[in-house]
Amino acid sequence: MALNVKLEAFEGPLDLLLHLIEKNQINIYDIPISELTDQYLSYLEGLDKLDIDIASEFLLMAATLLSIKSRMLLPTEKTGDMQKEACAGADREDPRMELVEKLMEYKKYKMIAMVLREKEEKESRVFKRKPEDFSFLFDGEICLSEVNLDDLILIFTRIIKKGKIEESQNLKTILKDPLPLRVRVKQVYKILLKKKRMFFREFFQENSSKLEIIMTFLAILELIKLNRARVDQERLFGEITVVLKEGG
Amino acid sequence: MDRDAAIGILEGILFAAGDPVELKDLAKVLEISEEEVLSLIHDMKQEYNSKNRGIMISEVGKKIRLTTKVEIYPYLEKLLNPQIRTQLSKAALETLAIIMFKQPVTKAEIESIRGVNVEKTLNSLMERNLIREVGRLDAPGRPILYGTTQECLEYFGLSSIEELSEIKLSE
Repeated sequence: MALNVKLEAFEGPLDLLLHLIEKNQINIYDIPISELTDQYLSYLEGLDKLDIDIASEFLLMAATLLSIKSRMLLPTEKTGDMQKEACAGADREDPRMELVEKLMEYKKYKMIAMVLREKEEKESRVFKRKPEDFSFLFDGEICLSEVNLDDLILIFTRIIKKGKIEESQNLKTILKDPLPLRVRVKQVYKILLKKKRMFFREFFQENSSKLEIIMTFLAILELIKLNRARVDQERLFGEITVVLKEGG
Repeated sequence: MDRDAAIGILEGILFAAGDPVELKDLAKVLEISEEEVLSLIHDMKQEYNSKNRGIMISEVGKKIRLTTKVEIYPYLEKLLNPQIRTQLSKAALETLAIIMFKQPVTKAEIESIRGVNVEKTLNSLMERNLIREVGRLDAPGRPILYGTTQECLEYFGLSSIEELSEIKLSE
């Protein structure tokens, strides 16, 4: 059975397991591991595509479940009747115990997270006054004795953030292109008209600026597009030859 | 000092400050002990509890603050159309919950409890100043230890983390 829930809805494999346990009203201390594994795996299969980062966490849990399942099947483990009575910590031999403990611990923090959500909501409905600006009282003298590193970091990030906002509102000056593409296209074409054929690297001088190299490269691309030139390369990483297309 | 006068002074200070004020600073300016300040605050809370008051006094960590009451919010909403600040994600809340009770705690410990990678979550919590580095664990790799900040208590309006553990225990 595939659950009609998206992967993002769960905060990880433990969250998904808890969901399955609650959905099936399973006693967490006596998990029918085989059934749960099947459901868990079919859920993973039901996903169209797996984001490998997230999926790896879910797959690790799948492997853990399978490992527990196989350990449960081992004949040496005669826990058959005891399983039903097994409760927290009572049966250390139960291969499910470690997982149960993990689930219980995770569940605890999930509950706390829910309480935090309530608190957060309540807090967002409470208003504080903006602190009064007392700076006029200090006559230029600022006492820094009680300022610690954390305060400085906080203030610094606030200022930077504010600066960013103001910066983004400022107008920016765009410099005039010192080497417009169409000029370079003409230059390259002229060279090519004369030489008919030359190596790609020959277009650059050793002291060419980055801008020149980029512009030359773009100019050659442009000439190819305009059907005035073509490029050949015999093998991978080999020399690139630029050839003039006559009457193109 | 006259108790009523002291309460009036406290109210005035908290109003002027806006931001939560350190308990020890209040004690210092009033020249009384912190316990006495807390007892005054207790009385003020009772007074503010009455329906004819729109503000309340609360403790966040070792600081005291004056805010509007939650009940006032619907009316402020009508008046100001405030934008509710963005909520923390479920992942962030779970991670914070773990840090709150396990601090100082390493990333690896948090990940082992949550079963997922928490790198991004930790970064965003750091950016929001809800957690901070509190040191390094004396273990191979010297991993960073994380703890919660005063801002974290203020964000949730908590007087202390123990306030939450009561819920945890009753569960």
